Amino acid sequence: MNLSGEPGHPTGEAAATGASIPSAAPDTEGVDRDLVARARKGETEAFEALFRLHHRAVYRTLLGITGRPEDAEDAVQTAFLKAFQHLDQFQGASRFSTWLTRIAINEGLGRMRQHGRLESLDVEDEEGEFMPRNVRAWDDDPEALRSRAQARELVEREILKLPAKYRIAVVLRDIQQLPAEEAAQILGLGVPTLKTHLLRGRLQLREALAPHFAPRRTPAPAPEGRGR
Amino acid sequence: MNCRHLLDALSDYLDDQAAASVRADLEAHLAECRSCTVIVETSRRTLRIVTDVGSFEIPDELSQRLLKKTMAGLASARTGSGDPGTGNPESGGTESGS
Repeated sequence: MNLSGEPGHPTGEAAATGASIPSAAPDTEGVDRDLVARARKGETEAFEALFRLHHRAVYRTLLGITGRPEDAEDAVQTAFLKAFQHLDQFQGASRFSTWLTRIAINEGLGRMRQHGRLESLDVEDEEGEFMPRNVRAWDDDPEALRSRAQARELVEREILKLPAKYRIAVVLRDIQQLPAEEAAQILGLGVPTLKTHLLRGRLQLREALAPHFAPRRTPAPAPEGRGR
Repeated sequence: MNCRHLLDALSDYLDDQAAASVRADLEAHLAECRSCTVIVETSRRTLRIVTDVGSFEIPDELSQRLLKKTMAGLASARTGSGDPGTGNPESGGTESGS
């Protein structure tokens, strides 16, 4: 089974003009620059191409942050509209994708706070240190035990069960692949606090996945001559 | 280094961001501690699975619907015929630090 990535992603150029909606290619910076320039001139096709290139990553981030598909859907639309309407504020000092991601993350966090679903991110934990409980080794190739779809469903379900502040750290670092310093800055946290949240999120996720990937205990054979 | 200290350094170690001295201490501890070895290995696998499975993919149907809604919202905002309610994106959409 291939779990090495997302298959079939077209290149940035193809993505910008294709009829279907593809994912963002990893190196869209040059394409973005051209599209942003055209969008600033009011070319509708350029706005649409920017959406096509980046909406998958934005949705992934927002679903991970909000934990609710309906909130993520609304937030994607709002984030893109905010970005498009304020393109004049994008000076090109960073990648367009970085600028857009920041807008999206703040949109997601704002919705969480608005609905009272996000406690302060920098509050110290009261539950004390998290200590792993499951220390059984996993199967040699745990990913091969499940289809990609099954593994994805399991991972998504367990990520969404994490406390919000841990989930957001995991989403920004391990799914969105933001550097720790950037994730911390966006969240208004110190890097050590971000790393604490990330560690706890990762450990809790490992703990949740362990029963699915660790080999089942084989019942001890009944000693001969007993129970008869 | 003991098991507690290993956990404190685990994320940096997994991300290849641990200082050389911390890395050496951690690996010395791993050579002696079976439980911590399992925790490090299974944490590494957890990260690989999270990355590889493509979590939180958007369904194609939703992609199309969102594209239409977003472009309609943009058209509405540009003609002044509606309020997309977008406000100022800059409660964090700056370019600093990136």
